[in-house]
Parts: sequence; structure tokens; C-alpha cells
Amino acid sequence: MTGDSMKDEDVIRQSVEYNGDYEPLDKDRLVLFAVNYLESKKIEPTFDKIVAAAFKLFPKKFSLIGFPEYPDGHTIYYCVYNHCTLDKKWLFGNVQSAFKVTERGKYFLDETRKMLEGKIVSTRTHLTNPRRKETTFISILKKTNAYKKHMQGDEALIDESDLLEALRVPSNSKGLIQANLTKYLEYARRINESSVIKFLEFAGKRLGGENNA
Amino acid sequence: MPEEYKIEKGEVHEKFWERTVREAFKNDPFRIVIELIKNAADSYTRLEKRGTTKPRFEIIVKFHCRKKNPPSIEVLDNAEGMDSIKLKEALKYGTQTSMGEDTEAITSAEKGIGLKDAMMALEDNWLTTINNGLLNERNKHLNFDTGIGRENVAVTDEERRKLGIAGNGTLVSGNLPDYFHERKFATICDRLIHHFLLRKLLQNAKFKVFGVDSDTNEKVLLQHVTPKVERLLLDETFDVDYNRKKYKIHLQVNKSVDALPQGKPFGESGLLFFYGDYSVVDFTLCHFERDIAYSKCFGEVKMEIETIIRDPTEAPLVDEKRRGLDPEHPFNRRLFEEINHRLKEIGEKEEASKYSFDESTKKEILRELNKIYKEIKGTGLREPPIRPVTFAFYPVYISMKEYERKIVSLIINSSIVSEDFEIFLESTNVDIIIKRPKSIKIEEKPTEDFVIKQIELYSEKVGARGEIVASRFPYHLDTERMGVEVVENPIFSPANGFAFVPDKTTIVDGGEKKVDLCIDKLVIDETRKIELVSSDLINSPGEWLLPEKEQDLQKHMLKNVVKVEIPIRVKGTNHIGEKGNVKASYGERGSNLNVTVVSEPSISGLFRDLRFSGKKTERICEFLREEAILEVYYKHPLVKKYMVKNFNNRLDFQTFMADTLTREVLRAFVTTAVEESSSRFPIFNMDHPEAEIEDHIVHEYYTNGPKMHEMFMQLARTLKLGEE
Repeated sequence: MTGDSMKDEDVIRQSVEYNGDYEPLDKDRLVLFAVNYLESKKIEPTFDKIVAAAFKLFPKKFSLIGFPEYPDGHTIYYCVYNHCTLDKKWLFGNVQSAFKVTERGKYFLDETRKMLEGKIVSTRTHLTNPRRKETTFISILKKTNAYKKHMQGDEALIDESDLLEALRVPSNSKGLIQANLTKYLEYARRINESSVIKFLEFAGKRLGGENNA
Repeated sequence: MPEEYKIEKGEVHEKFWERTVREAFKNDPFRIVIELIKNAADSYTRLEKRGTTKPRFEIIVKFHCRKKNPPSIEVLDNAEGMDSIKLKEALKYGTQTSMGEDTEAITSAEKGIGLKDAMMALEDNWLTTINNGLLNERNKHLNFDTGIGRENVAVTDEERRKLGIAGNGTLVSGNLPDYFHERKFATICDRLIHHFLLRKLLQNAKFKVFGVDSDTNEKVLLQHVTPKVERLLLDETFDVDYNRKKYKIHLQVNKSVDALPQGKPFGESGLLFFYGDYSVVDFTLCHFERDIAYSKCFGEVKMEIETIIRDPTEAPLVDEKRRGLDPEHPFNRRLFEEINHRLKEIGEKEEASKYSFDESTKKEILRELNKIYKEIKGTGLREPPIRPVTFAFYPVYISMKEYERKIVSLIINSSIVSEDFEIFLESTNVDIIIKRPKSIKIEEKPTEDFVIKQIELYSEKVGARGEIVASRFPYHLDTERMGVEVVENPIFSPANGFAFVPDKTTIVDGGEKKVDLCIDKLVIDETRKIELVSSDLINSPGEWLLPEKEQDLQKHMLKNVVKVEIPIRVKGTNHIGEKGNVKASYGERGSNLNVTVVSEPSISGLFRDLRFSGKKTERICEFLREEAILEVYYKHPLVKKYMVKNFNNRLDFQTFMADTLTREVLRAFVTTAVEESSSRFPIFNMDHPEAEIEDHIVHEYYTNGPKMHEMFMQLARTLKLGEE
């Protein structure tokens, strides 16, 4: 028994990143693919194996923010159980019993394969980064007037209050500017948001200049 | 009464007065009193403008009422009074004098009704005035002669007390003429309060006009109360061009809560035309005078026309008989044109809501129309969710309920479409039926990159599983498959054999809907009555009777159940978030439906509203594409023809409405779909597509017309008048 389990783990360890553009696909489909990958290798798709296999096959979609070498088990749990099993019924099972692709799931698996092969393109775009603090607040920042004006090249129209609003600094607590700016820059770098980094650099200069003045 | 010592001859023949002023007074005898009140008010205003006094300005109007004769009257002010020179001017025709509330206005006394005219209308009239301690008395004869009493006599304190003039002031007295028919003090006061000529003055806080009953000493403050405003319809300032000058006009129109009495002089529905602070010249709704549709409209037109009034060479703006603004005067003509134009627009907007459809029926129909449009257009999904290299089903697997149709899509990449392109559809399970289409043909090369074709599936076999296979012929072996499973429809397994399915529902605030009550045929016995009890929030029928005859009952039977649609309604509005329930019982069985009131979802799609409009157009009905509104014009002669008594219950009206709306809706469907490049309506000659569009409309009329007819007949039945 122990030898068999070890063998499964080795097989998963030796798996390599999927050779193709998998980033546009949604994570549920990739988890479904990973479960089928395990089944095809005669490995029982237990939860931990699904986490490891999904991460090995699709590391760009299932790694932790800031730690690309570690799998994001939390996200994979949601995909495998909440979405693929309970909602979509592509899988059958649970963490205690392991998982199995259903009849319904086979049709979506087939569609997923075609998507990975480029035979079908999904018009919906899906987030690569998990919904964590970094993505949440950078996403909120992207909806602010200051960021939108910056993206449209209307920098002259951005006033101090716009920037303070973007950085979530109350007008009576300007001492927070530097701290919030640093934090936002850290988040933006962690999730590789280059346009946000540029905006924050611009905000830093503008607010710094005004402060000095 | 003063004594007349001498007479001064009049300047014009009395026929002139007969022809003009007397005529005006006979038509509206209250003007005699009003002229005297206004004369007193003008005197105060002149004092104020000179800076010699400040409000409040009191005018006392005393009536001595008699049963059989017209009342006698005294109008008293404590304003500027007149010396003998000014008095002579004021009572003389044909000279130029300063008059009115505008001290700069020097105009011919022939132009307006004034003090002398009012005095001439009073029998035994006398004017007593004190100015700088000197008293003068005058009267006017019907032949324009001026009678002179005391002249420039020093006034005593006793005399002042008797007259009620402490400083300077004027008292005019006399008997109102025979044609003044009112006899009661209260009625006279009420009439004065509602008289349009006095309205602005009574609204002016500077003035206090009191009516006094000289017999009882009852003193009434005359105050005009404006009607209760429902909303402001228009508040606009515009210019009227006249003689190369622009004159500012401020127009305000309100809508009252209740319908108002119309017409001069006591009506409330109309526009008060005035200049200065209180100089009213007319009260009219111009072209829309006495139009019942405008009976809730009231407002005012403030005219900055002092320069016209001051110009002695200018023809009077008021007509010769003083009925109001002279419609022939070029300035008035332009002014009325501008106002008519604005009132027309207001009327069109307001009349749109004069008739209304039942809101929930209308919304249900709008949603259904938008759904049909999506189906007709053939692209329920405008942006394909997937872009296959060849073709693919979307979604690739479905669960469908027994006895319910289900629509799926086949998305085809246009690049693979060639001559004789055809995809055959096949079900691997005979219990899963492809209702339409059996095959997909695309004869013309599509203009879009992807074509979305809808496929309707149906099954009555619960538990059936199978595939729909799409194969491309000829000379290709491409096949695509989608999985189908048929699941149980909960309506066929009502809990305990008798239940609402589902057992909870939402309902729009103030809205109504039908809920399904399902009864297993095995539990139906001799009893035909279903009892219904609803909580306070919800209205439902108290009972529902199943058909007596077995064969009638069979008509409601679907598989093993009888499905009854129970109408429910929210009582009133403002119940969002509240919960209620409906309990149904049949024999010993019962079922409870939980109802939650929700806010109304917005209607989206090609049609957002449907309204009965009062616009005058040559069309009976029109789809306003930009506003997404379908309008029916009830002022069209053909619509009017059908709108006779109880029209909404008449079959000819309903049929006419249904057919008109169906044709317009289908025209809108086809033209919009063609503009949106829907592949459903191929056009051969793109340069001149009109004839082909007509063909498509006719085709759609035959396929979708009957269903729409039914919907619009239902809608026409709910048309009602007057509830806005």
C-alpha cells in the first residue's frame, strides 16, 4: 500500500507544466482536467493529489501570491469541491472519499481539452490571481477616478483629493500617504500589475511634490 | 353725501364709454370694484417707489348690502391722495398721465379702464381725497362731465375721522350698477378672492385688502390661495421678438392635484398674464382654453413689457372691450405662439399618461416581447460565449425538465460555411426530441464571424439520457455531441399529492402573478372546492373551483397532475422585503406558499415601455427606437373611431389594437434585427432591402402574429382612463 502511494506521488512530482496557453481558461476546468489526468494515470484523485497535480500542471493558475513555488490549496479546494462537485456536478465525491469525473463532467472535460488545444476559444476572461487582499484592493484602486484618468492620459485633471481617494487616505490623515503608497506598491508588484505600479509612482511624485511644497 | 357746486364739461362723447368700458363692466361687473382697489394699490406703489412710505398697505372695501338693490361701496386708501390739479388729470379723458404701478409709465388715459371709468359705473359716485391737508370732492356724470364739490378746502380732524383718512388718502363711494347681481357680502368677498384681475395683488404680501360689511362691521382679509401643486411642469424664460427688440417672458406652468375650474374671471385653470408686480392683463390658456385635458394646468406669465406699455405710440395690448390681451396685436400673436407651442408639448406629455394600461400586464407583455425578439432574431446570445474553430454546442451538457422545452445553441464558425453547407441534428434517444430545427442550412455566407443557431429540445420521459449529435455534410466527418439528461419536473410530484410548486415565490411590490398549485389526480375526489387563505399582505381568491365534469378536468391534466394557476396580488405598495403566505386546502390536504415581496426588476431589451399617447401624428402607432418605447396615438381618427363607450371591452377595439400593435412590433423586430446583422433575415439586395424587409415582416406576421395578437388583446382590455 505504502509503496503504491509513494509511486503515485512520484508520478505527480514528475509531472511537468502543461505545454500550451492555459491561462485564459477558468480554474474549474483546469481542476477537472487535473482530476482526469490523475484518473488517466490510474491514480486515485484524492484531494491532496488533485492539489499537487493541478499545481504541477498549471502552476501559473494555482500558486500562492508572492510564493510561486507553493500551491494554493485553498483555491483548489473551492474549485474541486464547491464548484466542480456541488455546483456544476462535473465531479462526484468529497475530500473524505476522493473524486471522480461524472458523465456530465466528461462533456465539459472534452470541451476543456478542445479549449487547451485551441479548437474552441472561450470569450470570457478569467482571473489568474486568486481573490486575496492584494487582488481585491488593486481591483478597487483600478476603479477610482484617479486611476481611470491616469489611464486615459488625463493626468492634469487629477487633483489631490482624487489621489487620496485612490490610496484610501482620509483628507485629515495625510500622514498615511507614504504607508498606503508603500503597501499598494507591494501588492501591485506581487501580482505583477505594471500599469498600477506606474500609476502609484505617479501618485507618489505628485503627492510628495505637493507635500514638499 | 357731498354737495355738487359746479360742473366741468366732459371731453369725449358718452357713446365712446358705452361702446367700450360699460360693455366691459357689464360682462364682468366686479371689475368696477377691482379698478378702484387697483387704483388705491397703484397709489401706494407710487409712494413706495418715491421712498416716502413702506408696506404694509391697507385698502378697505366697504359694502353695504341690500336684498333688492345692488350694494353700495366705499373704497378707502391712505396713500398719496390727490391735489386738484392731479385730480383733474385723473378724471379727464385724452390727456397723458402717469398711471398704474409703474411710475415711469406715462400713457394715454384712453388706453385702460381707470378710476374715472369705475366712478362713472357707480351711481351717485363721489371721490373725496385729501392731499397735504386740503380736501377735494369730485364726481363723474354719465356724459363725462365732472361734478365738483368742495375744492381745496382745509380738512378738519372731525372730517378726517369721519372719512378714515389720517394723512393723505382717497375715498371713492357710490352704488354699484343694476348689472351687479351679487347681493351677499360673503359671496362678493369670495368672488373678489377668485377674480383673476385681483389675484396677483392678493398674493402680494405688501398689500392687505380688507372687505368690510358696513352693516355688521365684519372685516375679512381677502387672500388668494393657489391650488395645491402636484408638480411643476415648466419653468422657463424666453424672449419674444417684437419691433427688433426682445422682451423677456417668464412662464411657469404647474399641475394641480385636482382638476380646476376653467375660464375667466373666476377659473383657476389657466395662465395669469401680468407685468410689474400685480398688473394682470389676462387669464387664458391661449389655444387650449377650456380644453379638458388642461384642466389641471395653472401658472403665470410674467411679461417684461413695461417699455411697450410706456410707449404712447404703441397700440394697447389689451383689446378694446378689455376682455384680455388683444389676439390681433402682433406682440400678443407672437407671445401666444410661443406659449401655445410649450403648452402643446406639455399636453402631449401629460396626455400620454391620460390613458394607462394595467402595469403588471404591460410589463409581462414587454418581457414576453423581448423574449420573442431574442428568439426571432436567432441570436439570443449576441456575443458567442465560445468561438469554435468549426462548430460546437453551447452548453455541451444540459439537464432538462420533463414536459418543458429547452433551448440550446449551436455555434458555427462562419469560415467553414460554404455552398450547400448543412448540419444535421440527431438525437441518440427517441425520448429526447429535437423540436426544431432538424437540420441547419446556411445558404449565404454570413457577415458575422460566428452564427448562433438555436435548437429546441423536448422530452416527456424522466430519466432519459442521450446525446444530440450534430454532423456536417457533405464530405465531412466532423461531429459534435452534447449530453442531455431529463430530470423530474417538480410539478408532477407535489408533496402530499397537493402542493404549490414551488412552495416559495417572490412577487414584485404592488404587482401580481400566477402561482402553480398542483394536485395529483389520485387525490382528486368528488370535492371540487379548493379553499385559499392569504396573509394580510397578499390578495388571493378565497376559493378556487375545479371543473365539475371529468372531461373538463382532463383538459387541465398534465401527466398525473392537475395544474391550477392561482392569481395572487400584493396589497398596495411599499412592502419590499416583507413576507406573506397563501394557504390552500383541499379536503384534509393543505399546502403553504411563502411569498416575499421584491423590488421591480428593470425591463431590458428592445421594448422598455408601451404607452397610449395623446400626440397628434399621422401614424396610429410607432416604435420609438431610441427610447425603446412603443406608442399608440389615440388622437388618430381611426383609433378615435374605435374608442367609443366601454371601448376596452369591445372586441372590435381589442382586435384593432392587437393587429396594429402586432404589425408595428414585428416591423420593429425585423428592421432592428436586420440593422443588427442578424442572420435570421438574409437580405439579397443590400442596397434596396425595403421589399425584402416587408417580406420578412409578412412571414413573421404569420408565424408569430397569432401569439402576439392574443397578448395585445389582453393588454387592450386593461386600458383605462384617468388613473395617472
